[in-house]
Amino acid sequence: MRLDCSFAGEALPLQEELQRSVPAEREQLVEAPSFHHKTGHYRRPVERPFTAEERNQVTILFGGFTWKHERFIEAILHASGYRCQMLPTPDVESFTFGREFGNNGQCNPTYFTIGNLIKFLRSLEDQGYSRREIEEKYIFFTAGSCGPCRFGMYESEYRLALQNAGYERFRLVLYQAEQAIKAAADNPGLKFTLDFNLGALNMLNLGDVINDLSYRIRPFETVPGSTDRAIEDVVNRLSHFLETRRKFEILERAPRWLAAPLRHTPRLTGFLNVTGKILDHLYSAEFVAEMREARLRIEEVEVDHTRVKPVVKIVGEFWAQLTEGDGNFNMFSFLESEGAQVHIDSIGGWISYLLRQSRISMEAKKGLDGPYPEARGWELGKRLTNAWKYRRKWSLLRLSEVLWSYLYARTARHLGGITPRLLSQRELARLAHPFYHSQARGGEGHLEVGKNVYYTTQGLCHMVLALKPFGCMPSSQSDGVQSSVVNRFPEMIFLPVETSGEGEINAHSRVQMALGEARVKARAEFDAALIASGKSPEEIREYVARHRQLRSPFYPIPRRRGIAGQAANFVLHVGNLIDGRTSLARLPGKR
Amino acid sequence: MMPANLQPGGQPSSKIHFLVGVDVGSTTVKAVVVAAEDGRILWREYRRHDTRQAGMLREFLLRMESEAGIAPGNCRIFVTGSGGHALAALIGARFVQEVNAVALAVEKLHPEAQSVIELGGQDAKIILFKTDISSGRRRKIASMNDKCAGGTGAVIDKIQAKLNIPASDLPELAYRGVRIHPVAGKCGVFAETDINGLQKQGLPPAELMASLYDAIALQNLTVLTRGHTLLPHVLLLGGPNAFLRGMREAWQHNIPLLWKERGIELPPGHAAEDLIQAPPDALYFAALGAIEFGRGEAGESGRYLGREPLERFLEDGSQDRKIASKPGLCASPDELQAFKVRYQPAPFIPAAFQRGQRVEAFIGLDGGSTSTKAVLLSPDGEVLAKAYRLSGGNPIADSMEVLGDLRRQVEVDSGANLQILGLGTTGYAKEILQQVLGADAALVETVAHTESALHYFADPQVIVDVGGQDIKLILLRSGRVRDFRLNAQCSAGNGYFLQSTAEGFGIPVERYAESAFAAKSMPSFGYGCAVFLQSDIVNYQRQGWQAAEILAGLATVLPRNVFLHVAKAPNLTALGSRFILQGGTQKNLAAVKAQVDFLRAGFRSTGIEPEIEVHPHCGEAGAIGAGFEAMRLWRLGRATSFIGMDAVSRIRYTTTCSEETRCRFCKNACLRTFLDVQIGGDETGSQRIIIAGCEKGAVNDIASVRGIQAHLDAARAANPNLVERAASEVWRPRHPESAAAPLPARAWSAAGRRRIALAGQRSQLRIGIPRVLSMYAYAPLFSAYFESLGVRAENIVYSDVTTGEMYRTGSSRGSIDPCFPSKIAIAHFHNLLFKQHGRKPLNAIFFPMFDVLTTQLVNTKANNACPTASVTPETVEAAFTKETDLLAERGIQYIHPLVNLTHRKLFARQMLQAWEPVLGLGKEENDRAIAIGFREQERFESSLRRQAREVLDQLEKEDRLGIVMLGRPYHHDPGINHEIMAHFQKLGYPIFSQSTLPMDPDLDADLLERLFGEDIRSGVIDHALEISDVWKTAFSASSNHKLWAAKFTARHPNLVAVEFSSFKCGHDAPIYSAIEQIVERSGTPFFSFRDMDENCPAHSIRLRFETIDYFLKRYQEDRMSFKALSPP
Repeated sequence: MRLDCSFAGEALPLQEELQRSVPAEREQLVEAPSFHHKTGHYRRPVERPFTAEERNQVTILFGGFTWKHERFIEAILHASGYRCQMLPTPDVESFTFGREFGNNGQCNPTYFTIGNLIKFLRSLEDQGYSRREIEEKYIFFTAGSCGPCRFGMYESEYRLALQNAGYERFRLVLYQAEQAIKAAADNPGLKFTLDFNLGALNMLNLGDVINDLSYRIRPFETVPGSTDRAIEDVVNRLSHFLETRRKFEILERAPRWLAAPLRHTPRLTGFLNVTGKILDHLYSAEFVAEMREARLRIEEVEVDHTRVKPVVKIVGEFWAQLTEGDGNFNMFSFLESEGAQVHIDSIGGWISYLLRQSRISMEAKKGLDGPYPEARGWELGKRLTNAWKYRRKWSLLRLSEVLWSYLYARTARHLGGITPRLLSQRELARLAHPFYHSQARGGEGHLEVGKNVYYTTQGLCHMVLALKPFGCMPSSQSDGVQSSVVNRFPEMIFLPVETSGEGEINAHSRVQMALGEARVKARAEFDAALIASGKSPEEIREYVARHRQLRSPFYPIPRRRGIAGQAANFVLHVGNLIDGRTSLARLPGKR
Repeated sequence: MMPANLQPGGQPSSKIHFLVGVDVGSTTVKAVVVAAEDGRILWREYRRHDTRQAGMLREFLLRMESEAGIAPGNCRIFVTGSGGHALAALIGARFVQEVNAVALAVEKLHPEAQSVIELGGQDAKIILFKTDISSGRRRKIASMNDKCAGGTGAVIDKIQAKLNIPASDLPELAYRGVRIHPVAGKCGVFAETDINGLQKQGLPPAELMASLYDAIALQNLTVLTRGHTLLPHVLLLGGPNAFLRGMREAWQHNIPLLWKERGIELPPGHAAEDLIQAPPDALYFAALGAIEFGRGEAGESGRYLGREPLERFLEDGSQDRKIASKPGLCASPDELQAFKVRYQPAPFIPAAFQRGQRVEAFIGLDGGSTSTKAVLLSPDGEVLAKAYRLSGGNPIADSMEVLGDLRRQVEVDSGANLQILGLGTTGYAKEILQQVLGADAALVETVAHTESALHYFADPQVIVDVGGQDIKLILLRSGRVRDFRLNAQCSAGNGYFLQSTAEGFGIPVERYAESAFAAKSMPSFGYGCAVFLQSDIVNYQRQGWQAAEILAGLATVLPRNVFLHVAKAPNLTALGSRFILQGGTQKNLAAVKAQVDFLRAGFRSTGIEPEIEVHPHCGEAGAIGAGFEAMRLWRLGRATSFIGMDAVSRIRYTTTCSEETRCRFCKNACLRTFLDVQIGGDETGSQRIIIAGCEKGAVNDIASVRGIQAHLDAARAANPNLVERAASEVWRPRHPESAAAPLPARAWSAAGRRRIALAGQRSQLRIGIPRVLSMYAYAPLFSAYFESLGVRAENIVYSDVTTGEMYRTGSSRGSIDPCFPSKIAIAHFHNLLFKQHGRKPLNAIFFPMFDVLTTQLVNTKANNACPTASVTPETVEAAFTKETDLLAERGIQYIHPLVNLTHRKLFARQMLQAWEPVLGLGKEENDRAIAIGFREQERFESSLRRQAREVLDQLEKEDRLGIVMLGRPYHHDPGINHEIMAHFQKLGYPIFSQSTLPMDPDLDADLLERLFGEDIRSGVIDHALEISDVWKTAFSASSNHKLWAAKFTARHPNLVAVEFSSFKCGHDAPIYSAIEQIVERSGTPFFSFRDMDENCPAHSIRLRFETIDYFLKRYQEDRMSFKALSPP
């Protein structure tokens, strides 16, 4: 059938034609009634629950961190009795899948992570699974959020992409920090016990510290590959421990004389059980012993601390600064291949940011909320209730912050003590605030600014590299103020790189550009340190050759204020050792 | 073990005579050989490598060996440039990053330079040298374009070819003294689109080239400087700066303007333009810098190893190929053969005529953007003859030629007599051609293509039309257009790109398929932007991929660009299962094969085999559709108005585009083109056609303008535009009652005295507010707040309304490239600081950071503002304080508190903290002012909604159609929406927006009940103002509202939806699909203008207008017919 109508602006004898074709018109209109009656309405897809009964048949897929973190997640999921599988690191092909099936205009992490899931599901199909089987046998577990950027809407984006890719019934399970677990079922398949949550804390800390160690040691290893081998062994060992550790149950651990009365006092038993679990997870001798074994294994890696390496501090958007693949142009391995030492950021830092933001947001509303928001001046009881409620919640948040920092520091200490503690969020906010409001949400914004200022002014790095995915809203805006920050701190070498999934060569070239300057800075610092040490390279070399612990990755090199380079600090220290102004430091755990 | 770093530095084992610097850029290779002892330049050369970097490097090495005497053992080589990294290791060279190399050369050769602009083939770099006063350290701030080749030499090359400017003329083309036209420099594709349009206005190539230079200069000054000022002396480096006088002059013109505005003092005795110069060796700086770097490197660094590894690499370039390559387009010769049997079009054989035969025929003429096509159709629809011409810049000349060609085929070649019964035009130039040739119809391109497909195929469901620049996807149901998709402003990955890439390899487009089919494997490209694809091509060549393989890979990009990038339809099965491929690009069988494979793969899991056909005359489908329209009119009895073939051959015309033709009927003063056409030898057939940007410009006397204005006014009155009303009423003073506390006569404390002093000054206080972002929603709240506290309404000063001129003038201080609504804030701030403050001083600028917004919706999860918009006040402050604090200089306080509008008490506290130091505020008066502010805000919103309700009721009564703009409040800004909604209003549609739809639970209860009552009763939702049935992650206030407005539109019988979204909008992107599905699932027409930014592609927008208007008219006719046919 031909279109029989006029075009814009022309008045033609349409009615005549229409009259002639009434029967056909009527038939067509009946064929496509929704064209004229707005009746069919869109509804978002119904979510299928994952129930406890399915637990033994369903495999939980997860991903999005580094392989080190993910191995530990796998361990704690296994320990809680779940079947699970980690997804491979997202690559460009994942990104392409994400673009193909997601909405246009998403930020990069969305495309990479969603595409990665679809790529994996496709690989299952290639192995002979039907879509139906995949939808029944696998679920995806990921983090949820309440925004304010696209991250808050990730869940919907995952569902859309899965639907577009042909997996309409595939299930997602969300972990939301503030609401623990969200699962649309009365008896959810994923149940997050105290053991799991405490395991998750350990997982994050272990993942962060071991990840950091790998980047701090590898550039100095004397036997290529030795760090990676050690890290792999350590991750294997610790994940085996996390998976097989005996759960604390008070009735099993208590002596018989105590167990009997405890059985009759469930509340007391519950309290002791919770306390015991916390102490067991965080302080048990077995855990500390495992970490010591891990440290000893890494200590087998011999390093040469005298290699002059520009220190590049990585900041940026949460995912882009964490992933170790195409998602950030393989930036870490590229930097290492260019002779840099990379200081990565931790997930732990992000958690302490979230904790502090909750508290600060609460402080901003102090006296405005509470059970009696309208309490008048003379209603002392109501005002006291308000104050008590506020103070109690505030104290809990503050306690969480302190505990979290402590636990992180403790893990770092047991694993060699060369990885730094979590930065003070208060300090970062203080440094960033003049440029970027520290309560504006989407933490990448002020954190990037704060870290840039902190690491530069403290002389902790030679260059700051901000990795930001194309389209990241807070991170892009922080770039807008960084140009002003750079003007205020003349010694700063700051480079923002937008990771778009395309244009890797250009991005690497820009990094080389900034790294060239950082390299000069590191070399000058080293040369000055060598002169200041008053020793020739041969003297330093000979001294190091005589003292094995100076070739240990965990040798605690004292850091001089303003000197970022490991080699520069090292030669200054060795100079002092040769001159007898100081003595060799003990390696951690050695008596 | 000995620490490696401290091993004694090795000395060269033999004497080094030469130091060689090689710059392998994206389009050229440059090399310099200097004497190691004294640095004398012994040899130098540059040549284009035509994407054969490795091959060209080998040639250079051969020549350097024979002409300069370099050899392994006597020289060290330092390689730089974007293509140098992978090649350096092959010859033992040390790689030096190009910016570092250039900086070293500049520091040595031109220590006085403080800024460097280097334009390369595909990259642009800016280096600023800043001396830190405290340490004396000279540091460099460098920036490069990291993804896009917009604003580089590649764009110049492309436009030069387009404008047919001989390579020998280009270097001397001037900028100074030449008239400049607006051209988008942001992206090569956009620039090309603009140049296309200007070229068709008849503007001379020299002006267009100068305009391009201007655009490139402005683009780099705006984006690449990241808001820094290029201080004198400025060195211009790189090929385009070295060779092109016009490019240099563009810098010399634009940079001093910035110096003047920013108060930069020039060294005494220098004219500004003397401080911006290209040095004699501008081409070789990177190579020289690489050598300079090498001097600082000790030992064996860069020892030349000879050419052998490079030769081996060239012989077996595939060794470095990525493992993830794909097999070729055809797995086997059999598959290719089967494909060709199915899809190879039968060659067109023109009809044969007898001498003296009278041939009655219709002509379809397609004046496209890149080519002009014409067909001769017999009265029974058979194609008798075809003619084609690549666009020469003027559509009349092109048309005369193709029509002459048709005539020649019939009358000269066969001796028959041609009798034209009707002429239909389509394409970019359809109206001009209609006027000049007296065509019977000028058909919108989309419609023409549809007509054509419908003639040849039964019940097609998807027409995939891929032309030179446009990609159109037309979706049909039962022979009716139900939807269409067009590429917006970006013509990424179109036919022209495939053609120009093939030609770049020396392969004519006709041989594209043959070449691509020969490839056994191919690289895997991304899709989308043509400029990214271009850089991928360069990278793949570097890895050793051959031309045929790259062409095969590029063919596979086309379907992804069509279906994923343009149509945004990953689920192909939802489009339909009968596909018709047409448009000139479908002549390329490689592209057809890629599309067929892509479509089949998309249907694989469904078990359905899609039917895919190629139009038998795919290149002329549009022309054929236009011809059919003429035929239809003839059949309806209309006599043709075509001037006749004889008259066509006698057409004479002159094109004038000068100051004399400039339109004076409004403040925009656009340049127009007068086309004076003379048909026949006398004055009787002469007419003037005015090509102008709007209706008023299309006439040339004031009486006609008045008539047009009256017509427009009547259209406006009949079709109220709530978007325009909202954009105007939001800024009105509110004149509320006073909330200010009475001032005490005296105070006993210093604080009290301070408060009295500040409060006493309120009536004199002048507050500037940028007219941007959420202010388009909440200005009444703040106006009422300030007015009620005693600030006079006239002292609340908003920046001017957004215009292109304002953006160009004020945006150069920005250092990032976010969405346009955020970016424009810098220009508005500039307007306040430089213009408004200049008129009468401002005391403060208020630009709140909206954290949480208000909502009328229920059961949402949060009402977050967008983070980009929230933090824009910070980036704006950075822009105006980083070099010198322009706010402090002017004595202006900048007040930009974070505000939460949902938590009114918190908001009151936030405002009190922000304004107490300025207004001497007390808590109680602040609370009263906040209450008044919210009351006025509600009055403003409800007033608009009342107006909208009246319009809607009227619309229902008349059973007409209205358009809802699904866009955020800042899309009300005419400078951001490019007045698209105003245009729809002129076409006869009342306009609503998401924030002006009636939604009062009491006043609009009847309406809400009609639209949502059924959903509530069936338990889908609990409340009419809820979106939980369509969207789960309801965190963003404006996105939530957009979703609700989409639901409203989908349910209202008289409304259709036009979605507006800005490029990079992070809160819109996640809801694209949901919005589309909500509207379309109900059968409601849905159109979108996404990725909007400062660029306003007139041609693409006009094509959309016309198509949407056509479509809505059809929709309305169908509605009316249905009503008439429905049983009572």
